[in-house]
Amino acid sequence: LINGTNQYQFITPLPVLDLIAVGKLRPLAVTSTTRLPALKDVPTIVEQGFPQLVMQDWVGLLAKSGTPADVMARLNAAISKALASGAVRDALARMAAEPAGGSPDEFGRFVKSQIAHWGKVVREAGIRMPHQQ
Amino acid sequence: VDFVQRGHRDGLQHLEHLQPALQASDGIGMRHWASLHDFAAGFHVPEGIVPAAGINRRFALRGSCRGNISCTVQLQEAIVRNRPASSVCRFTLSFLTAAAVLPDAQAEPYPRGPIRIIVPSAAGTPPDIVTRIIANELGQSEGWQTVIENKPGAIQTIGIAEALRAPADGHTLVAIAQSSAVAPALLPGIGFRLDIDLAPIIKLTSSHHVLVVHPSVAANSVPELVALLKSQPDKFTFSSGGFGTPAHLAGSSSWRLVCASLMFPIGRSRRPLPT
Repeated sequence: LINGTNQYQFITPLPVLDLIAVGKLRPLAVTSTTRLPALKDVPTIVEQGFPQLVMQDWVGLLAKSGTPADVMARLNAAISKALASGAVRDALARMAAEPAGGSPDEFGRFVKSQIAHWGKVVREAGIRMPHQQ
Repeated sequence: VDFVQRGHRDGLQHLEHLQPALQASDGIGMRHWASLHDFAAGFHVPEGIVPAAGINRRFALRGSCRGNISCTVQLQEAIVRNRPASSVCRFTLSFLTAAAVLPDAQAEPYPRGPIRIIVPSAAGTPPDIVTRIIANELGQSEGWQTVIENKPGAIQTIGIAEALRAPADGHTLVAIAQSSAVAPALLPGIGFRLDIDLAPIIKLTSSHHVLVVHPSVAANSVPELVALLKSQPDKFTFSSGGFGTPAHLAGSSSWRLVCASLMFPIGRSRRPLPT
């Protein structure tokens, strides 16, 4: 993108904040419903009339099924606490990520909804892997 | 099999269920057992145990988990004596599985050692950084030792499969990102179900993307870029971090619907950063 081979890209904010600041890349929109603190001058994609392009990236932690319930609860509790710590929140804010949290059930339902959502997008847009094209 | 018949005679009907269980216990404990020349030495049996079949006894496997199962010292010795090495391994694994699912299994302190967190993305990518931030905090607040392993590739499925080869004891975790939820649609042949074979612990972060253009592109807004792409569909391409990544999906799905069919190259995952 920087050398002009490609002309546009959706990308996580972290690696391009500096490049935007020095004018090597021009930001057109953020894919959230509200503006990002790190890029507060950049309008959202919704503001520009493309709500269908809102997209959330996420990270979550899982274990192999069958892991003892007390271990799962211990992990959830410890990580919930970690996500609430000031140091973690600061570090995440610097990379323009928001702390999530919640129960294992909530995350499980979210993962299922994401599988369904992206399955639909892939089918409707006809996206295929290179070897299938 | 002698010990199953013997167990039945003594009222241990569930012993026959141990055999199906061993079929599914891939990888469990193999690492612990491979280094033991004398399998019997791996059993620690409390003194005073009554060596009679059919009585639940607590046992411990060295380097492994603890629980109650229905087998005795004699039974274990019989297995060690009469079975070839590989069978010993497999029978032992089945006991281990049974121990883990029995309701009266005694809770062990957790963790018993380093927690391995597999990140199916390259070092330096957002999922990797998020995981390291959390792992660092767990070290400080809980005193937990974590080891992060980057196993990128095949839309995160290589790393996830690696996590599934480890025992289900909470000492191997996997930090997945959004693209793993796309993998089932793009890779129908993957050998696991994200929503069945893995158990959710917690969602760590959410984040959003920014649409950037090269300064030479004559567009200052999304509608202007769309107009440009529609008028000259062959002239513009976008880049992404690889198939299934958010950038690839955003570029090829919604845009394909909004605009015309667009060409795009396959980006390689960024070169791993030193960690």
